[in-house]
Amino acid sequence: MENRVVKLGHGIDGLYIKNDRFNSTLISFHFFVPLDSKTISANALLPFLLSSCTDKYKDYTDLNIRLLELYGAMLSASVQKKGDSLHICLKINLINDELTFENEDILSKGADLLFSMVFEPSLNSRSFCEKDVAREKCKTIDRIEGEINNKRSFARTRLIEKMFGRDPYGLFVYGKADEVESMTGEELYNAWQQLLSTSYVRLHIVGKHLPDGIFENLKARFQNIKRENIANISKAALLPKAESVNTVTEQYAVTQGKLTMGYTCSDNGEGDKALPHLVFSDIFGGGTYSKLFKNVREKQSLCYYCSASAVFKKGYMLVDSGIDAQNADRVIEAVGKEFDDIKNGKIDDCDIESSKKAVCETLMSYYDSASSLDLWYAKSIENDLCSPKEMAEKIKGITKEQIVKAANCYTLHTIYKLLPEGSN
Amino acid sequence: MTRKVIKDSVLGEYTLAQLDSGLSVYIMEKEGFSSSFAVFGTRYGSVDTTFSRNGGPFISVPEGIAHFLEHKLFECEEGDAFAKFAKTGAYANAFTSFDRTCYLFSCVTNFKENLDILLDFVQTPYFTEETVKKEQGIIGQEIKMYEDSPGWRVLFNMLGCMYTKHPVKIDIAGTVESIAKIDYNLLYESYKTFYNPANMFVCIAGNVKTEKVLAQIENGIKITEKVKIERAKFEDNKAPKQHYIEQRLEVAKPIFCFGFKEQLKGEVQTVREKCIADLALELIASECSPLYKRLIDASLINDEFSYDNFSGPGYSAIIFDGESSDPKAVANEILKEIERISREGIDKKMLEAVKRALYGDAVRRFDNTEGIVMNMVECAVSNGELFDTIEELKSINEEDILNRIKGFTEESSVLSVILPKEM
Repeated sequence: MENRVVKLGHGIDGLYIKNDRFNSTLISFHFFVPLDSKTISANALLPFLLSSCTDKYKDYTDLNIRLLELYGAMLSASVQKKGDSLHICLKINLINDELTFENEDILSKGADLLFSMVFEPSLNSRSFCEKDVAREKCKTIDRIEGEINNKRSFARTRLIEKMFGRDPYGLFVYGKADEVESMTGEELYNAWQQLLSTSYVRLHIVGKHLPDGIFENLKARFQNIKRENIANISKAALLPKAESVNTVTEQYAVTQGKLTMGYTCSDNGEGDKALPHLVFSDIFGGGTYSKLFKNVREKQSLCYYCSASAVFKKGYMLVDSGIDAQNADRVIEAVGKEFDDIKNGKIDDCDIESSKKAVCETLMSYYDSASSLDLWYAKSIENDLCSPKEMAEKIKGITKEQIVKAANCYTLHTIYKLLPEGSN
Repeated sequence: MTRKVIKDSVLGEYTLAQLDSGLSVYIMEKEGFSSSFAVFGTRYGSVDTTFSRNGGPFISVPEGIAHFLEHKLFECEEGDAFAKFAKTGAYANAFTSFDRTCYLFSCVTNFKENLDILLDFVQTPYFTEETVKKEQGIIGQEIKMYEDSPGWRVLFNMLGCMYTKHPVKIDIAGTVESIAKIDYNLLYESYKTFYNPANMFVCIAGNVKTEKVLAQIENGIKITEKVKIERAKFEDNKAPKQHYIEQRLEVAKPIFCFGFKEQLKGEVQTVREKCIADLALELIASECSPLYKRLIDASLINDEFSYDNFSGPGYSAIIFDGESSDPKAVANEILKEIERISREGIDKKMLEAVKRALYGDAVRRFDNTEGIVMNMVECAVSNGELFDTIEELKSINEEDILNRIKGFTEESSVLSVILPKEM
């Protein structure tokens, strides 16, 4: 094992991912909370609010000037669904001290700044400040409503909504606009308190240097926070197989149609058992050697893109493509044929080799990217922190039988078509 | 071959070579890295629609042909290049922009084999009437995808107002109609003109050894006669032909692109001119600026707000874009801020802080092989050198920036807006 987690408290871990090849260092906070319709809107807004100002830098202009002084430190906030959890992330990237003009100590200052965002936000008693809340609410509503601007991701989002229905995984990652609209500074304060006391917390440092005392600092910060009911993020619920395929068609003012197909899987989870599923979905619709690329795009010229990705942690797979509305049925049929071929074992050995090689190359290239390493280790929160290299070694041993077996776990559940107005 | 090693005390060193064939080669060894990234590119993009070869008459080709050629080059007589890369496990791709076409791969293992594949397929065109026709279907879908992209449309609508003649106003992939005119002969004609080593470059960074790679490239480049390319010049008016344009699409709130058309001093911007534009943009509109604060506090912009120095051969514009309930109010605020800075001057302390941040960005770009190679490509198409930015930043003063900002006038501006569809 290359990296070891340092236990810093109840549900609080630290991880130093040492890597000497970068000119910069990445420090990231990862919080995991349950996906829940009652809390998602507040939780999804929090990282953006926390990263916009602090008790010391009450105005975001001042905070941004501070980032400039730290040689343009890159600050970012994000939320993502991970199984039945919401993954909330705040990170900062700083160039290494020895590359500053006068060997300045910016790493520890950057770490302090990130910590102050998480633990010392700009508050007005037991509430976030009105002006900050109003600003971030506007931005979040725009994020929610602006989803339609990118038709490809919009079609994927609509498929997941339709497919998962009442399962919390069907929730939109940024929550609901009307809930955001009515949210108050007190509610967000409570959500922040809840985040600090009940989320699973991970602090990562990726780079050449570990800021002095950073783990001790985190421990101390949590000293006076009562940690209880820590989010159980280990297992996601499976979506049952559909009795019949649900087809949803919506029309919008677009030129190109989007076709998305969602498949449920009879199993889910992480670790070694996910590996055959990774290779299967890659052979089906990953790289340029995949069946969807070679046959649906290249041979039949039915689309510019047609790809598949399996999310084994939650137990589903998604196919998406951009098509001519009149070809929708042909594409559904063509995708179905490629899927059936794999289920029936019609896979060339060279395609399996290509896929395994490509997956291994991707995994090994993570060592050259701080953000990839950060995300990689945030992904494997509950297993034994298998490194990309260890994973690549295991991928090499995956057999055709395992791939075919994985393919047979999937069943088509929902088809979502976004078509131009007036399409039949 | 001529070659030199260029060093920077912070960022390391790289080799810049010019082979006898005229090919430019950039190589940076990144010790300790697992992967390598390589680009084989040509100074040929969507704007090169009218040209002359070796002093012959000027010919015009259909719009979108550079991009079409990019798609077709992956095809080989014995299967396609993707199939060859699939055997090595490398990630391969290509892209066409306004002034360049690049073929690339990244890999952890088998670098030598991958570089051979790259050098070979780019230098071995193979198309048939049938495969050209097939590609029209795929690219037709790609064009339609971009027709639905509000961010893409808002840009091209703006360029259409700025330029009446320059082909930068045309979509990189062309139109369904223009690509229908592309045939086998036109593809070869374009290929023979622009895919000549003297017009091309190879850029590599990662876990490689310079000497070995240089030798491999020298061996892998086919001997061809140098071609003299003359690109047509497009004399556009100084001012845009119209200052406002709108289109309705399926969007949640209006999307805008507010640009200032600039006049180039040379054929392309120099590194120094690019640095001045970057500094000017940061001072006008970064998250530290009074303008950003006013716009955010009035809920006139959101996280989508950004800015860019958009420039290439024969075209140049400073662009602010984003989403807003009132794009005209945003444009007005930008104009007011430019006027304020022109009147009051630039805060010296803020300029130093912005320079420091741009230095930090430049350092960070050397953290990954793709970032380094894309920097090299930029140098190859604009005849710059990799570490120039850091050197230029040091010597730019307030006056340089003010002189540039003064050119961002209402007369030179275009506001392009995508409005939500009427209910």
